[in-house]
Amino acid sequence: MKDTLRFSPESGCLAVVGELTIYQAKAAAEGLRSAFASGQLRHVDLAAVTELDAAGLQWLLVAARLTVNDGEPVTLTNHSEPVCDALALAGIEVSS
Amino acid sequence: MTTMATALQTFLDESRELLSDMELLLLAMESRSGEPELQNALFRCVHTIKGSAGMFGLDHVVDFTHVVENVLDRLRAGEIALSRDLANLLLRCRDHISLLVEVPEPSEAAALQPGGVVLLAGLEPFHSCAGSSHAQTDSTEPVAAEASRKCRIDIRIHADALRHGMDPLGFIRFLGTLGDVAAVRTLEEKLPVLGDMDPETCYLDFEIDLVTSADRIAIENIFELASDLYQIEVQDQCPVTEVDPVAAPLPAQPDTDESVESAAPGAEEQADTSQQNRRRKQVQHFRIQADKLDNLINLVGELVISSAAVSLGAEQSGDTPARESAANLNLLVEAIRDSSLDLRMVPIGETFQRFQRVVRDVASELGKDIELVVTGADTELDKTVVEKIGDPLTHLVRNACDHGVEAPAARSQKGKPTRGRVHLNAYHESGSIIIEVSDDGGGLSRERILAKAMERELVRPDAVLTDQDVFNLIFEPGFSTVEQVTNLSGRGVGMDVVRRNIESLRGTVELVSPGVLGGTTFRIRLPLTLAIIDGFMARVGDATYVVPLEMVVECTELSAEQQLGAEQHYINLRQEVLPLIRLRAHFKLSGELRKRQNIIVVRHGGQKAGLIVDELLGENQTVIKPLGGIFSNLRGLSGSTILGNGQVALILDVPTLIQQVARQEDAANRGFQSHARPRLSAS
Repeated sequence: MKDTLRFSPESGCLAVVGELTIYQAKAAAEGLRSAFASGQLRHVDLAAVTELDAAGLQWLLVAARLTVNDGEPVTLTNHSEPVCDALALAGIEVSS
Repeated sequence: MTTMATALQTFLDESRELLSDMELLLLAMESRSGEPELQNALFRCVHTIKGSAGMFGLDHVVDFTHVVENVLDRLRAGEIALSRDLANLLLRCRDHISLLVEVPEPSEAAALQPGGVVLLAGLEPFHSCAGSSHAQTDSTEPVAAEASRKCRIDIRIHADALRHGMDPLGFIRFLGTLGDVAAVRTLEEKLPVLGDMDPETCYLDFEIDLVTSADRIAIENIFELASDLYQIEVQDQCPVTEVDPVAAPLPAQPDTDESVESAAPGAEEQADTSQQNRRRKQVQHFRIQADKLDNLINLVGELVISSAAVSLGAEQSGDTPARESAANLNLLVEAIRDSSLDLRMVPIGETFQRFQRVVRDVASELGKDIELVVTGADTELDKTVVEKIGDPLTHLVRNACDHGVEAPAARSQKGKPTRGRVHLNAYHESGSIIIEVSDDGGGLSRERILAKAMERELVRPDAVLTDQDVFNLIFEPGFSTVEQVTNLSGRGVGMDVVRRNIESLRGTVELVSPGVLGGTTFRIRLPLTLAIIDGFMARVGDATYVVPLEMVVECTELSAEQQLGAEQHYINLRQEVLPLIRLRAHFKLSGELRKRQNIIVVRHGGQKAGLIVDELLGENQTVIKPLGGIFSNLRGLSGSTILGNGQVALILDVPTLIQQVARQEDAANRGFQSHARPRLSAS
């Protein structure tokens, strides 16, 4: 199985690829934790997300609350269409 | 992930239930088509299936049910009437939905497509002008009779919801089909920081504002599938002032002929009562896997045997406290046995209702008009028996429609109403359940059966048979009297299979003609349960026998003068003739005849007989163990059981014993024995 998350420490970018649902939730949480622990995490790239359910939504919300260094928030970028749909469904506005 | 599979299983179970409701409703509506309650219930069945299917992304189900739902919606709005054709069509649609539901993957449903297309084409004339645009919000306005209003839906979600595959976003998406989702608020208060987060736990709750014309029930129904994981609170807020555009052009009809203002409280009331109904239903039922229950009953069986052993040990030890405790234990075990067996008791009504459809289909195939009357639907019997009685009953019901009820022309010639009747009845009688299948047809012709039997060399030409003997010939292998073979029955297979099936359930079947309705009545007698019975023990020589307690009427001592005539086959018991069965002679037991002997008076099916035994041992709980295959030819024994001391006791098959006595009596009276069933005449 392909990894859901790809993290490149150089750019600080964590890319989510494919589905982000309850089936990937555990792996995604671990990936996020290790990326955050490295201290390099800056962005989460959502361009390649093909499906998002409530578990994925929680993951996004938690990721968006993370702050690095001195209170600088981790940003979510390049929302794919499924991500926008799910956020709209949940009544969450996309701030970019 | 197995949780999704569990949820899907729930969906399947519920759908099956709804589909069987749907069938009953459709059949009921044929006779009472005007009742709005039936129409609404029917609509709700299909609507719920569609809703749940949508949750699982079963588009093939959604697409098809959507069209059916539309038609039903028009039906209950009074725009179309339920003709016989439409009822036929809807029944076939129901069958198609049940096929679709069983297919988990939309891709696999392709094979069913052609059938669906034909049905959809058939529905086209009844379909609303909306045409073929499916599954989109534009035409899915299921509740049209009420005004739109805004409601606030609070959704509180259980932490395990995601693990069970119940994604809240799916529900919110589906709410959109009921109306206009004005606002959604995702409540993140419970959401922890990354370090504390269990990624599979649901931390979110939602608040939704929905502008809809759907009533509260329709909204709650969406969440019914996940009612243990989702807490839903629907609050109606101010009604939206404009009348729903769909509601306006509805033709006025008695039930919806109300102004918008008065419709609202009415709907409220309806919502309340059906909510109450649902709550009551929830208290009444919950699902359990059948094999768990079977396992429990097996264990209870072992418990009963062990507790008998304990009682025996306590009895022999002579220790009073031990005996008291053992007696107490026995009472409790008995109570446990009764209530666990009770768990497996189901009313036979469900099985009976299935036959509405059978009779309807068979009748239309035969060009007859037949009505099925069901009584005694509340009569309960063991689930395992119910499952096995379905096939034999189907055969008997078809048989009654085919051979019992005459063709309409023949009926009117005889001055009978053209509409024939088939009657299914069930009731309890001394530890058995009786199921009767009756028709109001011409009954059986003794001469025809006898002629046929002679032709087939089942009976010797010189045999003298009672009516009962003749009728029982029907159950012989390879017997059929019908000249014209239909594709339903009458191929000469069946009746012997029916009898074999019933006998394998320790039951009997007999035929009465003229029967309850004047035609033929098949009377099936079955034990209530196959597992454990209350038994009455008696000793003959060294062997212990058990008689099912329900069949025991009384016990009495055989007095000295009565014992004298060893060949005497009856006694005078309080001015009644009581035929006797000497078990010692019957089972060819050796050993000295005791001075004192006892009679156990048993009754079965209106006949009494006295069993002569050496010693009465009293009651015990008997766990029935089947006899091995090599004993299957033994007549008069129905099983065995293990006693507390480890010995094996045989359970007497009272019905067969009584039958045997009756036959011997008959034969003795007439001076010779029938040749029809030689295996019964030998003893």
